[in-house]
Amino acid sequence: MTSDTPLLTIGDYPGLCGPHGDGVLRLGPGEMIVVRGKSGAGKSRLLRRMIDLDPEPVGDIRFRGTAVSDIPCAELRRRVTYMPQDPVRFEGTGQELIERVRQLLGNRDHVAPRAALQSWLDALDLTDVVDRPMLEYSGGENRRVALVNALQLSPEVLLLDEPTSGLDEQRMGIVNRIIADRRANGTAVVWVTYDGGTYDDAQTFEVKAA
Amino acid sequence: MALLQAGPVALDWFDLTLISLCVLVNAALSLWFRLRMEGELLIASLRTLVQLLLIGYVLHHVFAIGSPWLVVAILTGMSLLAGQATVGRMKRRFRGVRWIATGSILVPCFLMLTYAVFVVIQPPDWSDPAYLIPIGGMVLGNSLTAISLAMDRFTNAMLERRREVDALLCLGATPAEAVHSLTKDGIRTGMTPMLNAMTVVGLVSLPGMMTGQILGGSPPELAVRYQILIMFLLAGSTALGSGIAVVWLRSALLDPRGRLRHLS
Repeated sequence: MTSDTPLLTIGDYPGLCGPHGDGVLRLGPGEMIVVRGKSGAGKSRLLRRMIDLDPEPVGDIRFRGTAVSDIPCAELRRRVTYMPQDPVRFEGTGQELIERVRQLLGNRDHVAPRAALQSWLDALDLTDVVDRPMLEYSGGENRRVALVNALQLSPEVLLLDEPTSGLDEQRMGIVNRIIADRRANGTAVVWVTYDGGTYDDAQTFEVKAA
Repeated sequence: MALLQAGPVALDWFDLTLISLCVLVNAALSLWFRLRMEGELLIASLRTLVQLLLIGYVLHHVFAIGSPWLVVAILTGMSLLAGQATVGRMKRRFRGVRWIATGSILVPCFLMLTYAVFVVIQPPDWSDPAYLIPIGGMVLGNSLTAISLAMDRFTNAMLERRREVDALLCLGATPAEAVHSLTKDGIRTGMTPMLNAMTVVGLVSLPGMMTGQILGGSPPELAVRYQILIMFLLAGSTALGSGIAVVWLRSALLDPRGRLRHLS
């Protein structure tokens, strides 16, 4: 892999507008793209299309040069992992879900080592939380557990839908540090947000309702 | 103690009128609690009467003619009606559901019936309608219940737990993995009624076939053996039917990428 091989490319996506005035997106290893847009403009939908989960595929979306619809779906979604805005609370504890995800056929040989998992749980103050039933989680707890679940797949591209909403300043800082650390390890990030915060080293794209 | 020697006592029209008074209990409850079931009840009672009289008439002739083709034709007709009835019981339908229901009933019934008749019972004439039709009817009736329960359960779960399935897909699950717990649930639901029946049979319930044989003058020991055969046969066909139905339904409702289709 050379450094100029883009992980994710999008061409010809209606409503997507980049810094150069067109909708062409190229995301290389360790790079980050911020996607903004009003609520309802289709930001989450864009992310779902990146993992070929939307019932109406639109635009030319490629992962490492291959159209996402041509990559086996479980593999695609492990390597390009989407953390939804409002993650589902499953029956059982957070730990049980984490283990279940580790046991999935396609994930077994690729998940992050337990030491890394533990370090994320520690950093995000989740060591006690994961032993509680998910149905009792607050919005913030649920989101943090979802982030750990996404991280443990060791994705090459991390798609984050409003990852810090509902988190306090301190936790927001921790999440930002973890993301920065992942990027330093080569993970590319697509960060969807509606707020006006600045991310100096990221290209900004706008999604407008098509 | 009187033993049944020359078959059971004949029932005439007057007796049937007397026994139909029992259904008045249903009617009374429906009126008293305003269940609004009177209409359905009337139709169901009439259907019981007409359908059974009709099949009695048909069987009378089938026995007289004794053609294997006729027996197979009747069994096929019954299977198609069972498939139709399964779809009728489902709350949510979509294109292609009729194939799934009919196929899931037909395949296990054909396999299990063939095994029971050719391998186990081995009657002098395989096409003897006295074996194939009553046993086939029981297999179909029970499969119908099992498969409609399993299909209904799975279809509803796909809608109600859609977000859960979606979340697992996002975390790298294959479509089959993402709906694994729904699949288990559907198959289990289909297998449960038969399991319950097998638990209480002989203690609480004396099944129709056995009662019929005893009334017909068969020694209870033989009637019991036939009943054991029937119970295991039904257990197998309902399980196989539920399994086929749910797995087939799964591939119809999920596209290869794990996206839900047909239902909205």
